Amino acid sequence: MVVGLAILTPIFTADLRHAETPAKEAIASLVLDAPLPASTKLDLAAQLGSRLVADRGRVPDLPPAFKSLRVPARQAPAAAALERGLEDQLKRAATGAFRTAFLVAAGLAPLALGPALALSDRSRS
Amino acid sequence: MRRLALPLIAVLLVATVLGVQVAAGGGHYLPRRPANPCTPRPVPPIPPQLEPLADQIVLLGLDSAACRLGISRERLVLALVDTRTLDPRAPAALKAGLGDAVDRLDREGRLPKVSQLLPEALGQANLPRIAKTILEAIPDGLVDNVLPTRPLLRRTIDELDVDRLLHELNNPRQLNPAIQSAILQAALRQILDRLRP
Repeated sequence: MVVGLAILTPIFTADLRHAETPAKEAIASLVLDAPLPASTKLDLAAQLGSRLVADRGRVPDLPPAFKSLRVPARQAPAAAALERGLEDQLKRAATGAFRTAFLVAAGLAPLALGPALALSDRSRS
Repeated sequence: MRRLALPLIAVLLVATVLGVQVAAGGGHYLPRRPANPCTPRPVPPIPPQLEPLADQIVLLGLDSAACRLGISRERLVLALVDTRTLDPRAPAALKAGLGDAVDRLDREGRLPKVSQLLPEALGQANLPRIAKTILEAIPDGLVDNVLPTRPLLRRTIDELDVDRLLHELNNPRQLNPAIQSAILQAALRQILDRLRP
């Protein structure tokens, strides 16, 4: 298990770091294409930027950025849809970062049987 | 045989977990990829108002600028946040991109007439009441004849100080006065050009 963690930790850390840029680009893409006025998008971008700085090193918590955003009632559904879209993109980026580590862990699982079998043979003899 | 049962069960369990993940779309569960900025995006209908028009020009302009710089629109937008590390070609590319956007909307007949935008523009402009009354009294046909939309917008873009705008992106309240001033300057120059013999 210790060997597994020693192998998986650097893989996961590197993947998490590589996931940051695609996640930021996906968020920028959704904000730019959202059917909201440019002034609202700029306000939202400033709020999201603050969240990213505040939550550095963690998956950012988006609802506070949207709570402090003042949008007219007719824009509220578009803002809510954008929030859901951004949450989905963050989830995708974070899950994607686990992919290689997950596959390596799957490969390590059968290998762990080697020592287990050897130990069971020794105890039988 | 019994010796092989345990490894076989382990491999089977691992394969099942992996199979379920892949079947549920795990292989494609990735964040949205930026579109190619050189491929024209469809443009939604633009109401004859200043903000939606400006929004479309900026969005199309970003695409065109990103295409010129060989990066995605999203990468360009994220780079604009930190002007210290910005590609020195970016301001010129942005200006050219905004011009391309105006040309495209003009080609597609999507630019509203200036007379349609004038009431809203006058409402926002910091002009004396008497000046607003006089401008409102000018017939629409004359306004559109003296100030065709495409040349006015192209001139406005030429007047824009893109470097200054980029530095003021963190303070959106400062953007509007800068853009309004550029529009006013462009309109004045265009009117003066028309009056010259």
